[in-house]
Amino acid sequence: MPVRKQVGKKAAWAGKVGVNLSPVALVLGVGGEEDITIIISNPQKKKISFADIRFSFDKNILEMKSFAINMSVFSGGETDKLGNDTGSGQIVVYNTTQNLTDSEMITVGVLKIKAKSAGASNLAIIKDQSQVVIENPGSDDLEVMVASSQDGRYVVGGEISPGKVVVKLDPPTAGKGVNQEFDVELKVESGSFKIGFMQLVLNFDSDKLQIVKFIPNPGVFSADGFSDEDQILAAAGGVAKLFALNLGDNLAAGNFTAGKIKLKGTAAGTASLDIGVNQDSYFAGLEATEPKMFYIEAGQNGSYTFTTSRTVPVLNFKIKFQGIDTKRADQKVAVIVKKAAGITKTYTDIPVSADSSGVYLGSVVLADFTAGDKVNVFIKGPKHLAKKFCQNNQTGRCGEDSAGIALSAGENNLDFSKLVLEAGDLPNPNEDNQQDGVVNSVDFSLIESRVGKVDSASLSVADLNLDGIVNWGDAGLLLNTLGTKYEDEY
Amino acid sequence: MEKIEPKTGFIVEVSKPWLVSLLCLLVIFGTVAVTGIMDLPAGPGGDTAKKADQNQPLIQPRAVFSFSPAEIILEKAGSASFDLNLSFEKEVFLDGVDIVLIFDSQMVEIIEVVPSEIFSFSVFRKDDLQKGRISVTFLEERGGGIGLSGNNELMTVKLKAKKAGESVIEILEAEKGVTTVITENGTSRKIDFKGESLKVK
Repeated sequence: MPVRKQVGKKAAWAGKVGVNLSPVALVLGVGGEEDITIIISNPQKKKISFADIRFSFDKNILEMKSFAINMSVFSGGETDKLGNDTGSGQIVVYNTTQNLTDSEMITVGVLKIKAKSAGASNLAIIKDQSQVVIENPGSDDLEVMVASSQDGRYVVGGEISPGKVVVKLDPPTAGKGVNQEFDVELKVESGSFKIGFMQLVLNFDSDKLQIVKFIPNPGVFSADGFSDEDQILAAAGGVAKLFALNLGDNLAAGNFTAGKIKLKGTAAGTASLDIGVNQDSYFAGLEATEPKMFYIEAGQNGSYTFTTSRTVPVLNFKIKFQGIDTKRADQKVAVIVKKAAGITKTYTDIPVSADSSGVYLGSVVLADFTAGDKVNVFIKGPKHLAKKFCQNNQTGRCGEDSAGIALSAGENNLDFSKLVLEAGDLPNPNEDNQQDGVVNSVDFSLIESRVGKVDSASLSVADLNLDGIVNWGDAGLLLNTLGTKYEDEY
Repeated sequence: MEKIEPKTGFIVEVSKPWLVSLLCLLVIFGTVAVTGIMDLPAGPGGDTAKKADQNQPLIQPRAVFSFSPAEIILEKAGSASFDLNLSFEKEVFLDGVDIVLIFDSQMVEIIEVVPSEIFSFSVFRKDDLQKGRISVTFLEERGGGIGLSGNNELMTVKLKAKKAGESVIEILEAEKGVTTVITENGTSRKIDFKGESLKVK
């Protein structure tokens, strides 16, 4: 096998490269052909001189028609061992010149596949049999471990389903400060369709909005091998393409959250974020028995308003939930801001995240208030009574006639974590998951009937200390609240 | 107080006239779906009613709060006490009860509240007395709840008069917020109840 230099097997480099396929999922008709690009991810930008890539596939479903070497990067290779008789193939490429490529993503070449018969086949990179060699200036080249791979899954016999998958952005609107990151969830309504792959195009105002990251829901998609960059292709220029893939057998159906998109406002104004409904946006059911593609219907686009922090007060607050003293899952709270003898505004679904000591941080743009306004702030947790805050670093309850906090233009950093938000006002499934503003025997009963349960529905109702189980510790927190203040402070 | 007495011998006591009409409507509705129909006497509205499915939700309160005695006459500077009772026609399993009584704090002063020990826990909130509220929560820690039937004495309240005149102590029934609640074991649902009031002279 021609190698540019002797490979120093014993001096193998400790760095890592990956081998990825693009696209990672396709639905083809029988007889259809598609091009799969094989890419080496080379995060440390080493000069690649040689690659031997082994792969496996279901030879009854797919045929490897040909492999075209990327001759702009490699000078030659071997493409005649594609494994159509065994289901195990090999591609070899090398560069015997001194002009080696060292980019982060190196295209090895294009593998043309053909659909032979109905069914689903993975195209899996066999990492421990594959080999990549890098230049080692002044010495022999070094072998590099193929540490990661993004396998592909290709379904034959797929058809466009007459049904559509509805996609919604949640929340659809929000007011945020410029440069403030926030999350929008991608809600999917697929009916009975089982979803294994998502390719979603988003169109957005790139002059005001930046898509920072897409985080697939790990309970729905196994996004192994996707880097952040892979998940957001061409996120500049107002078009982003999100991918998520489930290579397992447990495919999601019905209503589920596909993931969350981290957004950031880059300039003042209102930016739209629209679900793309063109041919590039689709979901695929990757089941072998019923491979189908489902086009996307935009159920709810987004519109987000950003304000510069120089003029509008932004409330950055710290709070503490009763019974939580360590980092726990993100929560959402309602923030009610009351101006003395003036307006009252309620900001709902404000995300808060915990630090290592269980202090939760959140931020809300007070677009309805101006610098100099004196306000009292009421914060209500998802299973908690609302508490009134009237000063920074507050340690006791506010009086009914408290003057309130004087807002400054821009950032107002307020620490309300010296007082806990009392737990016990639970979302009641019997009443549309509404909280009723009081801790009483109904809340106790909601805990008592779920003691020992760990399912997400039970936890969302009655796991007050967010430790992943409903137990008497949660009931104890409620009893503590019952004995003190047991109704919302409004 | 009006009584409707079906042929089954099942007696429904209705304290509010509008409930009679509602009962009749529900009974008529029941004839559409129910077999084994038997005739009932005509209701107050003159409609011919039919026996409803016994599995349909009861429309009369399943629980009744009552005061004992039903009326208190206080002498000047004198004190008295009353019991608050909760009764059920059939055995009901409960996870808890929240009692909220409202009174005129200008007229009477609550001296003492003694919750019964029927339930595992009870919480009396003394601070609420300033707001004219007697609030006590009873909770049952046993997994299956506590089974109650018949008459149950929930608490004893001792009070004295502040001024001459009449006032009333009532069970607070509100849709949301601080209110009286009876919570069923297992379902966490609120059980309907009827609350009487206590005259204090």
